[in-house]
Amino acid sequence: MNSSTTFLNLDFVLLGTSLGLNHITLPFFLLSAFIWFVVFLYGHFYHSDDPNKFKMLAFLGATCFFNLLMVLSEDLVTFYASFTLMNFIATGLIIHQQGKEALKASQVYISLVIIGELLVLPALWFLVTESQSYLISDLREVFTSHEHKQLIGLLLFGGFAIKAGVFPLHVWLPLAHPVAPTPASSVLSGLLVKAAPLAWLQLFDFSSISLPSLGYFIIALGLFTAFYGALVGCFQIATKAALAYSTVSQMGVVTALVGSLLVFPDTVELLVPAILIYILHHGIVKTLLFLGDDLKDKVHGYWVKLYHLIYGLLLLSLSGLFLTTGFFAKEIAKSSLYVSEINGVDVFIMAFSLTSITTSALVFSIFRINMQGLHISSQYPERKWVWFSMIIIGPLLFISLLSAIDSSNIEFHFANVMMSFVMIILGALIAYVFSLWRLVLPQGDIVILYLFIVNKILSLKSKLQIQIERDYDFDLQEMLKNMTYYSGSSYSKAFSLFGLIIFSVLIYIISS
Amino acid sequence: MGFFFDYLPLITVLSSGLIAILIMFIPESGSGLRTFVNLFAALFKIVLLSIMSYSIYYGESFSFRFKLFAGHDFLLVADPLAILFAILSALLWFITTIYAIGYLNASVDRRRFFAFFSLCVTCSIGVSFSGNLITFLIFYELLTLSTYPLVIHKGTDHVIRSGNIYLFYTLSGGVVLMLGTIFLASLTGDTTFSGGEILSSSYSESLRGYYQLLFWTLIIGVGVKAALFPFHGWLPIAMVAPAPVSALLHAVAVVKAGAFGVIRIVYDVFGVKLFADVLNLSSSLVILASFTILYGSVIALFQSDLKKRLAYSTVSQLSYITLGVAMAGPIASIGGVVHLVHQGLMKITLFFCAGNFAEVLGVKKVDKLDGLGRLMPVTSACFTIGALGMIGVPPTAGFISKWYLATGAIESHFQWVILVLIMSSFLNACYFIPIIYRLWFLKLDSCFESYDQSRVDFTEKKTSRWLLIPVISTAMLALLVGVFASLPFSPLYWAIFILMEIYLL
Repeated sequence: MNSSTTFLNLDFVLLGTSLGLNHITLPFFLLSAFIWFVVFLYGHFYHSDDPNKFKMLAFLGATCFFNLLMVLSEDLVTFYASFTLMNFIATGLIIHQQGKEALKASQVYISLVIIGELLVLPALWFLVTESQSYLISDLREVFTSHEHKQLIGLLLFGGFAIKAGVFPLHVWLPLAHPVAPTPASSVLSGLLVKAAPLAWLQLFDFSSISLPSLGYFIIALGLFTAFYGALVGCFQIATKAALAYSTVSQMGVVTALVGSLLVFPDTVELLVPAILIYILHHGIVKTLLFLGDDLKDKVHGYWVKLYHLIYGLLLLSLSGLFLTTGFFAKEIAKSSLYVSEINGVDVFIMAFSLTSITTSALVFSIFRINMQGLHISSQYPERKWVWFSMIIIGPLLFISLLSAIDSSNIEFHFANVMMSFVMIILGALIAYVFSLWRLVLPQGDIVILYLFIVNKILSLKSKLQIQIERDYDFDLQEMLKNMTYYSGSSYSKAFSLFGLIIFSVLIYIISS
Repeated sequence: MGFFFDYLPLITVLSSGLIAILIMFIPESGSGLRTFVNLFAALFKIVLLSIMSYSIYYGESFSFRFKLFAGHDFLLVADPLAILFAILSALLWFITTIYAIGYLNASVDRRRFFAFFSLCVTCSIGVSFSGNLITFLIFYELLTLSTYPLVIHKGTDHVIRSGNIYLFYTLSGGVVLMLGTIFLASLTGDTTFSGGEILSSSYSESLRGYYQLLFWTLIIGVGVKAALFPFHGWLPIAMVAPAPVSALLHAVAVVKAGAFGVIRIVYDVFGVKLFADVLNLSSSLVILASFTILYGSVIALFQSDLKKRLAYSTVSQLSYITLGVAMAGPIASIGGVVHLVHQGLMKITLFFCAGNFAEVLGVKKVDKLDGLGRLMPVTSACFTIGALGMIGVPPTAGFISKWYLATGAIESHFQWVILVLIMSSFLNACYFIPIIYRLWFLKLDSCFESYDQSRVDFTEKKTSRWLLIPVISTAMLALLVGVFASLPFSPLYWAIFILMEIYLL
């Protein structure tokens, strides 16, 4: 199971680059390949009328390059470098449409990206100093026995949590998605947020590292994000914002599962593949959901019914409808967790199952918004064909990976199937109740709080600016001018400085 | 090695000095000949240095000496560290000469400018090859004097006043350094850079106070040029100089002579053992450097003038070198020494770009940079590379230095330095990211409406080739030394080679 292949060693690049694949990165690589294929194909038609098509494709291409490089890199420096560059370049995707909202979203995004980078860096420095090697596989061992592993773990979690959109750092997702072009949103949601679990699964050696307290913290935050994201998402009016909240919520579930690896280390063998399956499911479904949202006013005739059917199935797949990808992903995760003999696993499984209710509420809300804005036209037939063909290819990819995992421990209980239906119905009821409230929450909910603080700091800065701009620096010369009576040539000042130094030297000698 | 080889350091130093005299005799109108002589001399120097670096790598050594006065020699030695700084000076001199030719095109007093320009490089090569503190002091002082006419090149009242402040700071620093040199000579009688052997052989516990005093006197002497707090005040003021001069001042000539001086004093006058283990000077110098790093970044945040912002950024970045050396561990020192080169490449790019913005569009303020990525895409792209490097974004040069500094800090048990580096990166991002953001993503200012905005002009026709080629080459170098940091003869490789000798890894 833990096999890996290195296929490229470039010793002269950075601090020695090595590229390869292992059992964790392979699913990510396949997911990336699929999503980039879809996005480039769809983006080609989406941007066919765009005067800045070249710019968009350039940004997409660069993001794609660094995304794949990140998945493939086996050494820490290349991994971090490509992660950072991918994040920075993705700003260009968000800002593409140039409006006021896009500027705001990109500013929030880039600020959070920088904070994330700065949290991750010290952790990497600590690991590298200890290991004397840059290979991620070596660093995992060092991390397991590092004296500061609590701190490193927290930094790694916090730094990458921004990417995953864990509460309270999720604000960039609902801001960025509605303003970004649809292919870009689907990449952001389907793929770029997955960089976080990729990093965690790669850097933590869950089977031997012992960090239960961090694990509980991650589980708590992840589950809270899962519920919170889904509930806030129910009160959105833009489909893409609601889909973004759905991503926040789903990544919360993934985060909680990653946290459970720390708390229930006896499940690692089964749960890691389960998480990979979950990520694959979400990546495929979310990409198609975003692209499908663009398609809603571009179908007509009997295609409308088919479109609604498939879009509804894709949405329900998120809440785990029987026989959809979501159902398999969730059931595999649950049955992997049942293996654990550690106390509290039942509670976690229960909480994990309950997220399906809020997820269902959210997907019904999304479906409602999606139905509202339906205009029927037959323009852009190419996009329709791309989307409908990918609906077939996506699940095939999922099934092919599903067959690769060890299935001996996985059982599907009839009760679970019934439960999934009950939860979907409960979710639908909640969604119906919410829709009666006619409440609309702003995109990016608590971002208002952050912007308030930042604006306070900026206004303070502009007050200081007027003073400091006037060369108000620690100017030795000004000080000397005030201290001595010399104000003539520079030479007299030089001598006064000389005096000052002699004076301090004397003080030093006397004091010592 | 043969007779000729021992003269190589002297030839290298003198080549541009003689060129300076030659340029004095070329009439103001002979700009073609002047260009040729300048570029030829610069290339010649690079070739000489390449030969020397190759031989040094395979174990040769070059030294040249003659008696200066009783017991003290004029000594030029080419060791790996000297070669690093000399090649940096020679390379950037070559590139800056090209830039200066374009920048000063059709302005007056070019003869004076280029003569002193050559002289300035002579001194900076001299500083690098100095084999003892006396020789170092001579070139260090000459450097001050030869840069002064360059700083006040524009000659207006304000410029002269600022130039005097520059002179006041740097000359006072020189005086203190001289004091320190005399102090050292009276303690040991020999000021040769010996890796600390001479000083530590005459050390006794009773002399501890004197040794510490000597150290701080020398550090203050070079600290003025290395812009250590509180001696950094001249650096933003010297911004009145023309763009190529500020570029060279900030990347190699003056500030780097200071930083190089710090390296020499720590490694070659005191030696790592005496510096860190016996005298315990390490942490106080680390604290001073850390404070300067944060102080420079904070003040830079408040500058609305682009060149001033860059100047304070230099204050901050220079102290990375001091920081790396002061931590007295092999890895941290590699970070410090390699940053000597990396900071030079990145900062010179930024200053060239600032010069281009001012020269082509007359933009000097940060808030006027909005949307210039459309009008000057090449310059803006180069600025972006430089600025990202300053923040330490991979895979630029700055990332590599920061990586070594940070891992070195952990290795030398200065864990809190990590916090300083992170805060400094954050502050750097705070004052550089908005500029990059303005360049690329904001709408062009209304005063540029006359320009064609519909198409992005990737050839940047309005910028002269002489201004564009240097910017592109330094930006590319700043990027490539990061991407290919592990290639043989890269700055990182050479820094590791230098430090292997010092720490005997």
